[in-house]
Amino acid sequence: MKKIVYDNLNEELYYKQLENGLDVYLMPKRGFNKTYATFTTKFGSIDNKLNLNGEEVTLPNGIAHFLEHKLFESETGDITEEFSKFGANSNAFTTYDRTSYLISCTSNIEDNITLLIDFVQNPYFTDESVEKEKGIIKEEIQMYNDIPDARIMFETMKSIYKSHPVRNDIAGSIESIDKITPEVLYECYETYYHPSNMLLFIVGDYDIPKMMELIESNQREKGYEKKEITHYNFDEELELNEKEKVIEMQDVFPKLMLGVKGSPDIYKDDLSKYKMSMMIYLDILFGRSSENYERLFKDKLINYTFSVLPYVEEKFSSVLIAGDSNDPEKLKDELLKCLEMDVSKESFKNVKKKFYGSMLKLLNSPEGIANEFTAYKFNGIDLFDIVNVVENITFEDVIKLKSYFKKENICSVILKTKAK
Amino acid sequence: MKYILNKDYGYDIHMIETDKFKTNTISIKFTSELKRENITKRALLPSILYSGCKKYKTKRELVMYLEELYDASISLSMSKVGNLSIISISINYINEEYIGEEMLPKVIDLFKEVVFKPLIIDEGFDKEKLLEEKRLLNENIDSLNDDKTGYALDKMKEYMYENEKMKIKAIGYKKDLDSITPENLYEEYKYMIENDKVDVIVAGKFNNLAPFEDFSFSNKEIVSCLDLETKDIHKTEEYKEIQDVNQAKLNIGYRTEIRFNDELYYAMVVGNSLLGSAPNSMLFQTVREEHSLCYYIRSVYNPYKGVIHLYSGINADTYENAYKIISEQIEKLKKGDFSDQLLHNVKKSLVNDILEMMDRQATLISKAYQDILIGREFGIETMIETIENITREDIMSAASRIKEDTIFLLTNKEGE
Repeated sequence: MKKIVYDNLNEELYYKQLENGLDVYLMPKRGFNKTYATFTTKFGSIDNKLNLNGEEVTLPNGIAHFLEHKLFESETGDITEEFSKFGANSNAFTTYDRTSYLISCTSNIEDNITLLIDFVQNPYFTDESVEKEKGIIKEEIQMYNDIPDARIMFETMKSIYKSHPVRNDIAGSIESIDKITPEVLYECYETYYHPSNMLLFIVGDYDIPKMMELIESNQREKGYEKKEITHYNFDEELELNEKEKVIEMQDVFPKLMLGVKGSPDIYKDDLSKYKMSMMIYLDILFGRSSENYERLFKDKLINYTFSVLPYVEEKFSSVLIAGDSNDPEKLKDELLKCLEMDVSKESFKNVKKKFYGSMLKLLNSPEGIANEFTAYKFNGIDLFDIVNVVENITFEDVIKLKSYFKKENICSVILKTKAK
Repeated sequence: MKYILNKDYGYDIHMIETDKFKTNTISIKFTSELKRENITKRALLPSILYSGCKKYKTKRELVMYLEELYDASISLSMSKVGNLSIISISINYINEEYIGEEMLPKVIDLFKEVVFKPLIIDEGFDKEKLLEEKRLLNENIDSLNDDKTGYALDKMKEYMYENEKMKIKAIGYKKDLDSITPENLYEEYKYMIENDKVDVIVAGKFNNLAPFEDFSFSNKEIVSCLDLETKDIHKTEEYKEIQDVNQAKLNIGYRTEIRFNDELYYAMVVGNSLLGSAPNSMLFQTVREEHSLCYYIRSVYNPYKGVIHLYSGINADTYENAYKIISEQIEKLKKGDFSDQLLHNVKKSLVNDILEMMDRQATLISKAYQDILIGREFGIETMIETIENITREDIMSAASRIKEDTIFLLTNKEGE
């Protein structure tokens, strides 16, 4: 077991890769009542193919999310109930690139961790239970269809991408999930839920060596052998799928979302530096202390819903800029102008202080730590090291990013109220 | 973790001392009686204070200063709890040991600037700034329709509490905005400073408290937080609204008349948790898991008013079936028809939630504030013990007081 010390953050982390390939990270948080754990597989909504004995199989959209739901059912019943016997809260979520199972508890810590590992490693799907789950997931899809912010986000991803699977809704569609069967769930499971493809993160006030021993012996007994998991890359041209789009919903506050299309090729060698530089660049351009933010407020074009979301990921890259606006067309023009501006060096002044402060704030939250750590790790970045990455970023590194925002790579989606 | 009531500075500081966080939080709460007449003004006060003070004339200047303080964050908000309206101003900042410079004097100073030295011109707030804050409030109210879950819940409350102050919306009212002037808003501000009860609650690690001397507050009494208004229920009121939604929303309001001060309070907490707020509640197990009728279903108990709000997202076709199953679960709760195992799980989950509450500064502070309001000690041992000792009979007594009051359905069908 390796101990990593982060002096500037007053934190330490223990790491071991088990023989079966599972990455285990244990982090002490003295004085906390709660232990929080995430068990995550690098299998998300974009993984729409799998290698079955050398043959490439296409998967129905939404299968990662469906699998997430289904794992909560075991042969003897509902896993949530098992956890609640030990007083633990359990949950799970699926993103574009991962599926995470999480628990938080204040007692029976070892029982709960064992249950977390065991239920994720013990799939049980039947025709009947898969059919029933379709009802619940259809309700979930319907619910998201009624949420304007979710709608505009999914629509923008569809405008940006022509074929990349990130354009598909995470939960899939009512048609695509209909195609899901226990067989295909098992195939996905066998491939992507192998320990070599997974990461376990536990943060809390517990005995670290004892915990590592418990996990190791649990894994040893199951007899997995380390293996290589094939992950597919996706071809995607830089050209947008659709430049402009207007969609309508009943009684909705008008919204704009700009989608800027990038490509992971530009930062292949230095994802962490590029990712942090992008966050800084966008903060200088549109952050709460930026001139643009102040002016757009004054011009009545934005309110507090205005937000910027950069994706600088291993497998795709885009930037979303969005907000409620009484005049989405005008906001669009103004934002496009902002993206052509040069930023001043003055605005770079407090960037490092700010990053250090926000990292320390994140460290108050066991949930934040485990989830962010995993998200960064799956992109090959150590979360606790990004303070150092930021420390080494120069103003020149940051302003280079202006070239990411070429007009021909920017699309817009406007959401409006349907006329009655 | 240690709770100390510090009276050294002529007013009460409720201190929660702990070194497990990287930050300190200081929160000041201005509390007064909830009233319809001034609710929109009170909703605007936090925003107008944030929009500029003598020293930091604009939001941008303020944010830039916060960034210089290692991304300290300030939050100003107004909320309602039972009978009360609360204006909260909190600052969360990095603990001094990480940055090797004194922060507390700067933070106290910042409070003083933002709260006590607003930008005032001719006995009024800045006109332009007020216009901007009105616009933002207006847009905020307009965008409430985007969230159908919240919309349906609000509608249900409007019907259920038609003649009670519970229906007052803390977000404020559009129709009030025109009559609010820089001058009368400033009057409201002065009234708040002079008459509101003030509570200072802090959580974190404080080495030198001297800067707190810079505040001066006087201790004031206030009306009870409990909302005692109620009405006789003759029969359940049912309302329906048709909208172009994919998922229907079914909300039901119940009265229990069991409030914080009732001996059945903890029994109602456990009972509601069994019914619909624990992870594996009776409603979740039946409506969602057994019958696949919804994606979410939850019941929330409000002990200031003694009511339960149930909300769910269902398929429009299955409304009647869902309603039937929900009613069955309430009957089961009244009859004590639930397993020992579930009761045990629910109690464990409640105890777990209480313990987890102590792991976040924000929830620590809200707990301390709630304790002040209802006159409870800060410790959690008694709460936990009481919950653990609740019996099936206690729950049946509490549940027997659940009365269905109002049903609101947001759906896409004309129906029967």
